[in-house]
Amino acid sequence: MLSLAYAYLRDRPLTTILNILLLAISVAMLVLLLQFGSQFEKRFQKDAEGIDLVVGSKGSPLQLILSSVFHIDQPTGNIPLSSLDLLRNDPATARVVPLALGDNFQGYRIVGTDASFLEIHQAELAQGEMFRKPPQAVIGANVAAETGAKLGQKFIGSHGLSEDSETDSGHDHAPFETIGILAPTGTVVDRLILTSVESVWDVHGIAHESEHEHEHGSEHDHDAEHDAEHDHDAGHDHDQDAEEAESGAQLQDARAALEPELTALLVSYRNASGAIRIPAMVNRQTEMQAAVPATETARLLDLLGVSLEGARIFAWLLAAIGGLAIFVALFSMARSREGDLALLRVMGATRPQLFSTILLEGLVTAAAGAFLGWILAHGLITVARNSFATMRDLGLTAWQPAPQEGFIILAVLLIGVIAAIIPALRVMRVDPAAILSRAS
Amino acid sequence: MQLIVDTISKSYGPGAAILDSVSFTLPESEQALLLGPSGSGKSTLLNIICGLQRPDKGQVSIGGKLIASPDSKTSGDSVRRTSLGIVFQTLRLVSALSLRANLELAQKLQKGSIDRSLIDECLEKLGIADRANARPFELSQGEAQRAAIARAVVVSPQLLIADEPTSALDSDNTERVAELLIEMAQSVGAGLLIATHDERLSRFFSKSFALKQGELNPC
Repeated sequence: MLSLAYAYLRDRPLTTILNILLLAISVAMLVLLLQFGSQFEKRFQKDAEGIDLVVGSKGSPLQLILSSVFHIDQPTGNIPLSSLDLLRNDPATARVVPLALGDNFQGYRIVGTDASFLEIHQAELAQGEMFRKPPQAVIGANVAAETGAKLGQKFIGSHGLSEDSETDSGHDHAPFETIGILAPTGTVVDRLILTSVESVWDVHGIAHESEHEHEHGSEHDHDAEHDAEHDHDAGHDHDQDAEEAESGAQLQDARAALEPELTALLVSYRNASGAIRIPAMVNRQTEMQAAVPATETARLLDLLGVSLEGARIFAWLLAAIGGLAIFVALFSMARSREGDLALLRVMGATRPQLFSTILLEGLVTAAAGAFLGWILAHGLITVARNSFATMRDLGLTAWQPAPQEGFIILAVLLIGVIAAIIPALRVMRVDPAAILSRAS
Repeated sequence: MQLIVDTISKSYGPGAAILDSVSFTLPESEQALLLGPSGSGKSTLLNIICGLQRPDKGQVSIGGKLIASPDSKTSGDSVRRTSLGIVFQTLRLVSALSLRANLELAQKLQKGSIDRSLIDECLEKLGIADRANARPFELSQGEAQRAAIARAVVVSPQLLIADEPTSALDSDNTERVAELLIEMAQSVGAGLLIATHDERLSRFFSKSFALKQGELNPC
């Protein structure tokens, strides 16, 4: 009976393909919505774990959270370096992690921070060691896997936070050196390049205290080198030296004019009082803003949820239309095929066998639609992941079926069966004698 | 397998009797012709013999098994499935399947298993072996009628029944189909009963019945 049902479906290919497509599109939509919703929610929750508050420049709090916690948006601006000490000295804070953003390498964000950033995400080194000074960097597991970066390799960051932001980096003078690779965490860290805040300042030509110490410490060596050069170039033009000295001094002045700043601070409270006092203090008494990841994430998911719900209703409506199309096709078929059905009865097919043939047609159509839709959904996730950096940054993964996908597929199969029941009952009542007398 | 038609009556309303106490017997492996003009009740009688319609009175048995009676509990399905091969004038093959798939389906439904060598043999004998993979709409009238005979024969029936098998055929094909039906019935050891209005077939049969105004008489 299954092969007969298949033969009938094959006999009217356009109707069958249309019905399968309708169901496939609805299943694909439902699976996509489910995957997007659940993966984003899981990812947001995991990435925000251990961060009670984010302090950054005034602007949209959601943007601040997206850029500083999930690393998928532009930062709101910079905040003074002094804010780090201000919050670290507050007895209600347990951990304050500085962030200095602004550059990327092949689309992977370079984050200036310190070792405490790894504590938040419970990240551990898989190879090498932690960065200690400029220009050392530690790369996330996905960065290493996808760029093929190895320990000891040097790379030059590009200005901006996405791959296509700028082609001319302007950072050729300050290449980073990979000295560590992190083990996979399943968080945003996997897709980040971590370095010291000072490295980021160096890349942007921002003078800072540690740099002065470093420069003073090596001043004598530089002088020695300079002297040696001098000896070799005994006939050197002194006017040219004077020009170089002048432009060097101008550059030094320009660097000195740039204040070392941070992009944001990730704060963990020591106790509950921090949650009441610190955000209020930051928002009222400073030029900065404090945003709570839990609140902003919930707001974002609510906003997403409304859109997802609308799309979900539309997808179920599409599935219902698919069911209706199967019903119409089978119902009209039951009439046009009554000669065949009478013949089948004459050939010995029982009424339940005729009933099951029609039911199987509905079921096979629905199963094909469900299977195709499922493949389509996960295929689209793969394409989205490969085509859009944001999808990669959000950690969207394909071919990882959620348990609810089984429910969607079962529901679509049920739609196929329900759509076929009335035509199947009609077919079961076929009177071969009446049809034969009409035919002869 | 003996066919016994015992005092069958059937009417389609008061005063519209189409069969009136029709009785006859067809002994095992014998062949007979049921002659009658259009509307004489031949098809109704065949439907009753095949267990597709219920008589108002009387009963039909094949090999001692009841296939038709006025009792609603009598189901001809299993007797029809195990004993009969039926050829219709117009309903010949399932439209969605190829000729070979039709024959396989008939065997599967009626015998529970597929005998491909018997299918090949029948197709060869009927001269349509090269059309085995053709779909019904691709067959000519003559090929389609031979295909219908093949479908009825491949189930190794004990009684082969044909309703107007030659009505759409010319003289040459009429003779050819009649000969094929007789030959195929003999080859599987089945009895043969043909209902037709075509008196040209009489010469192929030693036993004939005429159905007129609801009554059956030997010719």
